Parts: sequence; structure tokens; C-alpha cells
Amino acid sequence: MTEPLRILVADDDRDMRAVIGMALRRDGFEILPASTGTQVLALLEQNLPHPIDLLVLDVHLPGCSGLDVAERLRAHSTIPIVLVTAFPDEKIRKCAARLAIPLLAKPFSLGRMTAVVCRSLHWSDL
Amino acid sequence: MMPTMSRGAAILLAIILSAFIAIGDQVTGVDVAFTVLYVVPIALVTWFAGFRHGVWIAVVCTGCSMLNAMLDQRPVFVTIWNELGLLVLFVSLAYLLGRHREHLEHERRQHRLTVDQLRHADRLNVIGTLAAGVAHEIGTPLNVISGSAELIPYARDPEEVVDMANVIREQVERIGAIIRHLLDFGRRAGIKTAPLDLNDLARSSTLLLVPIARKRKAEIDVEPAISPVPVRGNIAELEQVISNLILNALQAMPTGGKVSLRVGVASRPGTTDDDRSFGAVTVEDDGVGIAPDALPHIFEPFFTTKGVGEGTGLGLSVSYGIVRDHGGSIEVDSARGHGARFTVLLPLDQPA
Repeated sequence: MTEPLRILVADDDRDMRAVIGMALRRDGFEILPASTGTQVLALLEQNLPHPIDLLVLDVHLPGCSGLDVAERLRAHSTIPIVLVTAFPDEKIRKCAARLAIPLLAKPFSLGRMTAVVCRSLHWSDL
Repeated sequence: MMPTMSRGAAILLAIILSAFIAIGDQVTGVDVAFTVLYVVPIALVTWFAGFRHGVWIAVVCTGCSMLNAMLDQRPVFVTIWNELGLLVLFVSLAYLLGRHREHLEHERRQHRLTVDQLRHADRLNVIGTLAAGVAHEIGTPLNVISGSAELIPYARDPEEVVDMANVIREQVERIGAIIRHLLDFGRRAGIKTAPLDLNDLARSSTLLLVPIARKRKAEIDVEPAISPVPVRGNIAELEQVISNLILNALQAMPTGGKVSLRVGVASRPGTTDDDRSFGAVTVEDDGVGIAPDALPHIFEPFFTTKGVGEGTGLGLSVSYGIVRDHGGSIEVDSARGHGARFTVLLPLDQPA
């Protein structure tokens, strides 16, 4: 059996992390939770030997915002990212478009999120 | 402010005065002109109880004067002529004073109405800004609800279903609380005052501003006092004041930073007394600060240093009015480039 794909779920809301995690676990992914931007960056560095395959990233994170994390990562990495926000204003939309990162506006359906995650992982079975 | 005295008290005082004047008139005899003193009770009643009451006091005063004249046994024709003249004079006085009083009252009502409208305009403005925070605060729990509902069909055991149902209920309560808070804020403030704790005020004012702060890469730090700081006031209006100050602080920090709220007690503004009879909420930022030439004008209506569409120039002037109506004051301390510190001082609600 192959190793499950690892997804880092970053959201400052505990229940939101739990719901996203549950949905993705059900589809066979392994989940790593994070609640701040700095935690995301730290986890990505730590797990280098067993790489994280995708990042579900909330824009409104305390400290270092999701947009900053995405900008920083895009400078040196091609890890797939799915951005999530409850307040998709002009600035966030433009930034997501510029970095070519899919953006989900809350509230979104978990089915749609899974579809976007799978597409970002280049799966063709959905 | 118009001086206040109840209608009944004014009329009673006027009758007593009239009686004293009449007696004085009688005792001192014809040589001393006491009659002119009757204008005092007439003016008193007209001012505090209105024109109509002024007229009957004028009639009573004329009656007193006439009684005196009759006791002195002056000629009837002269007495009637004199008293008619007096009555006309007294009633004219009451009429003029009554008109003036009505005019003032009208002005005062208009002023109150305008102040109310300005305050409400500012509330709506603050709410517009809060909308971003509300979108975030409601979007997330909505998503947790819809996500849980989507996952329920895949639950492995009944316990998981119960857990998810509980999560849904909790999130609905969370959304309900946010909506209630926003509605409370949007409602016209009214005139109700109640005892409140400044610690609670600082916390509730920050609730919907935290997401906005985060969006601006800023954080809001609330440092409550160790013990409750009781004041009396209109919670909706005072929340408006604190929200205005926090929003200003956030806008003064374009690259982010920290807004600190501290709650405590202080002595009367402008003194160094050790009485500590005022509650204080300090809102401090490390933003661009206030230019020295702008500092004397910041509490003036429609004065703003923000760009078009960003500020109305209402926030601080409205806040100042609200705090002054509460018997307090707003102190400001700022240097260009070194942030600003606003302190809202409100009289402590001390049990007598």
C-alpha cells in the first residue's frame, strides 16, 4: 500500500479545521493541522523528509497571514495550495489570481473543496 | 443649558413672592414704589411654567396691587386706570418672555435632534466598517455547519452524529450572538443608561474589530483592570466611542502594528488629585501619530485627515459629545511618528 498523501490544514478556527480534516481524512488523506501562519512555515520546513503534498490555507491567520505564507512559498516552491477565505475582497482575489492559486469563499461545500484539492493534486478521477 | 425648576415649585414661589410684595407695598405706604417688583414672580412663572400660567399670575399681581390701592382709599377712576395699565404691562411682559422661552425650547429640540442624527450617521459608518469583520465571523461558522451536515451521512457510529449535531448547534449560537451584537450596535442608541463595567465595555467593543485588525496585519491587545471598573452609561454609545478610537488607531497604522486597550482608574482630568474618581479606557497605537497643526482640530465635526471615502470626520467629534454627555472627557497625547494615545475618562459609579 502506498503512503497516504499529506495535507496541511491551516485555519485559526478549531471547528473549521476539524470539519475540513474529517472530510479529507474520509477521502484517505493524512491531515496535519496548523492554526497560525508561522506554524505553517515551521511545519513545512520540519517535514522536509516526508513532504507535505498540499496546503489548505485560510487567508485570515493570526501573525503571518495566509497571503503572506502563499507569497513566501511561491518564491521557492511549487507545492499545491488551496486558499480559503470568509471575506474574498479585491486584494485577496487579485493575489490568488496572480499566484494561480484556487480560492474558496466560505461557506463552501466540502464536496467542492475535495474536488478542488484533487484537481490541484493533478488527480483525474474526479 | 436652560435652568430647570418644576412648574409647581415656580408657581408656589411666585405666589409667596407676590404675597410678600403686596404686604411690603401695604406696610411701606404709597411713597415707596413696590409695584415694579411684581415683574419678578411673573417672569419666574412664565419662564418655568409657560405663558398661560404667567398670565394668571399677572392677574393675581394686578389684583394685589388693586387691593392695596383700595385699602389706601385712592380715587376709583385713578385706581382702575392705573391697574389696567399695570395689567397690560404685566401680560405683555409674560407674552414676550413666553415667546422667547418657546423659541429657545424649539432651538434646543432641534439641536438635540441634529446631534442624534449625527451620532446615528456615525454609528452606521462604523457598522459599514464592521461588515468585513462580520463576514469573517459568520462565514466560518456557516461553513462548519454546512460541512458537518455534509459529513453526517458518512458517520461511522451514532456518537459521531451526536457530536456533529452538537457542533452545528454551537455554531448557530455563535452566529446568533454576532448578529445580536451587530443589531444592538445598529439600533438607535436611545437614552437608557445602566451600570456597566469598563472591562466588559473594552472587550465587547473589540469583538467585531479583531478580524479587521488581522486583515490589516495589526493586533488588538486588551489589558483589563484587575477589579471591575463601574461606571454608569449608555453601553451602545460608549461602545461606539471605543470602536471609533480603535478604528482610528488601525487606520493610523498602514503597515500594521499593535493597538493596546488598557482599563483602569484615574483622577479627575487636569488635576493631580489622588481621588481616583474616574474610570479610564486608554487606546494606544504605534502608528503615524497626529501632526501638531491637526491636534487642536481633531474633535471638530467634519475635520478629517483621511482620504475621501475613508473618513467622515464625524467619529471623534461624535465620540467627544457622547463622553461629555456622560460627564467625562477624552484626553489625547500624540507626537508625529510616535503613535497616539486617547484616554476616555468617565466618572466612577460609586455607591453612595
